[in-house]
Amino acid sequence: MIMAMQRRNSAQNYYYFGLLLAGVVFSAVARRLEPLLVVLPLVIALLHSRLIQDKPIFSLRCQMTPLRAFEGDRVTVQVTIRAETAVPPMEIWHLVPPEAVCPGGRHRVLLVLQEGEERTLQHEVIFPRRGKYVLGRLYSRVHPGTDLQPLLAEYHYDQVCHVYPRVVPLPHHLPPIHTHGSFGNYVSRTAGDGLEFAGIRPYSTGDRIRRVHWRASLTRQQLYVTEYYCERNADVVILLDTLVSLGTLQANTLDVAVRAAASLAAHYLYHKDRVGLIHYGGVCTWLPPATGQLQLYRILDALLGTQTLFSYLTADIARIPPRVLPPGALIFVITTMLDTRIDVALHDLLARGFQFVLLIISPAHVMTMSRHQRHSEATARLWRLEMDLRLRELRRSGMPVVMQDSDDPLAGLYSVLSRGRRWRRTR
Amino acid sequence: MAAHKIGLACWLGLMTLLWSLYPLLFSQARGVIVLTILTGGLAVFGWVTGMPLLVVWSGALGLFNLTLTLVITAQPPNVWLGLSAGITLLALLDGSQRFAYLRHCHVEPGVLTAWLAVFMRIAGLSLAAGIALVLLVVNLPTQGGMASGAGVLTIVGASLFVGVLALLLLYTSRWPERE
Repeated sequence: MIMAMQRRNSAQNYYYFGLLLAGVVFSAVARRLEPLLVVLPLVIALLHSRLIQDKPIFSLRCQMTPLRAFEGDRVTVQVTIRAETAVPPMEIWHLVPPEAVCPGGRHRVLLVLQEGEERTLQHEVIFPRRGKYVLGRLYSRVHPGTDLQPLLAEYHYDQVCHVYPRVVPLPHHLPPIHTHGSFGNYVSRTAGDGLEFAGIRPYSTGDRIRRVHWRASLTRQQLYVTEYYCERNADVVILLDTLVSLGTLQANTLDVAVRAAASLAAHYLYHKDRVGLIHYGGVCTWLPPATGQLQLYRILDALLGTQTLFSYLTADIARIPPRVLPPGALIFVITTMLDTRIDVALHDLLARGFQFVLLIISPAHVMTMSRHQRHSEATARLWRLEMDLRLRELRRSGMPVVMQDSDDPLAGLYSVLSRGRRWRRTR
Repeated sequence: MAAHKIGLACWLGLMTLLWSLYPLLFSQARGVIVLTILTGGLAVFGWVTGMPLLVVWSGALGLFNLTLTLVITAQPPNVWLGLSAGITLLALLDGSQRFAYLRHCHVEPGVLTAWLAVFMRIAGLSLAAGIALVLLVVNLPTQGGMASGAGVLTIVGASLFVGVLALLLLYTSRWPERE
């Protein structure tokens, strides 16, 4: 792309001219020639910048890979410059979003090019936080001669980079109580359609010919068919509390909750379960449970735009349709418990006999540290005591309650998963 | 890259020192010494913190100090002194701008050479123009004219020079058209 450039005065012009005036005045007042000679190089520089009017011609391309990444992944940006004429010192600046980090610091480069030369500049960008970021906005500043009248240009190779929340692999699997017949990783005790070998039995009318076990049939001179165990999968729903978020832009409870939700969704979708997502804010939004890679990206896309929206409304969990919250689904409730409106939803779920795990994100971990370490420790301890008091009823009913207070969004959940227990039903 | 930055920083430091020490070559008056220290301090602080306004302010202060010293000491006109101080001032102002680029950008090979070539070209042109100016000014009173006439001519010439330059700058600054 041949670019359109604009010539602009830098602030140095005014400084140079001011000094020039001062030199002339001092020279006239003091009747000395030296002050005028002192400012003479500045006059030459001013004139030089006006008389040298070469406009370099060059083309520029910009490529970003990949355009879908996870938090902490490196996005590579390649800028290729091809000079048609010789290019004097030129600054190429790839404008990086303020949230992003450029490890090498090479998104601003000063270079000179010979006629016909092509050069590729490469740098990497890391996004520590989820979101949609626009990359590919480039600025060039050519310095023909002095810096007094640089040529400026702006280029838009805008490409949206989706940065998904970081997915943490779970070391253990928590099997849901209720499963239903479908393709999945849970093996039923009854025979039916599936992949796991269950045994062979004599042929009976209606059996499919493709199920005939030919080796056994030839040996025994009677038709035998192979039986398989049924496959089953489960419904898993992640209920994400978006009522309140505490912390800074860099570290807040909502981001930790979103990472936990993404990790759980990826884990259960990998095990071929149907996973759904509910944003529990003033108004509920949801994604019905489904399986597959496409559903994972649907969930990640939904999590990308997750934010807290202030509202006085209290969402009624009973209004969520059964196709979104299927009976018998395993529900992961991820919350800070800071807004009491979530209590209503929890009691409703408990009364309806859902199997659920309560994952509480501690705000003490993401809050800015107090000057005294002891104060922050005391705050965290008080918060934990208060939570214990509030959650006594849920704990009494046998529901696993996990307090998360580390960088790993699911650290507290590992102990529950590793036990692999099936807790008693509420009714 | 780091060597480039260190080299340019040393170069700027030397220029600052030279610029601030010029008046001390001629005068040991207390006011001149205080102004010299102030000039040097401001210039160093200006280019370390990337504030060009401070560098320019120190440049103006240094110019004033130099003039004051020359008036106090009643030295004969010295073209080399004026020109070297001028080139030092240019190096200081231009260098502080370049140093700001070096601090924020990754510099590819060949850039510093190109910058140095421009600086040398301007320094050479300044020398030529300075010598021509001195020859003109020195020979003007010897043409038999009256001293007051020469003085008036000098002031008128300086005013015309500044006015024409201002007009040129104003005209050439109206170029922000998209091409």
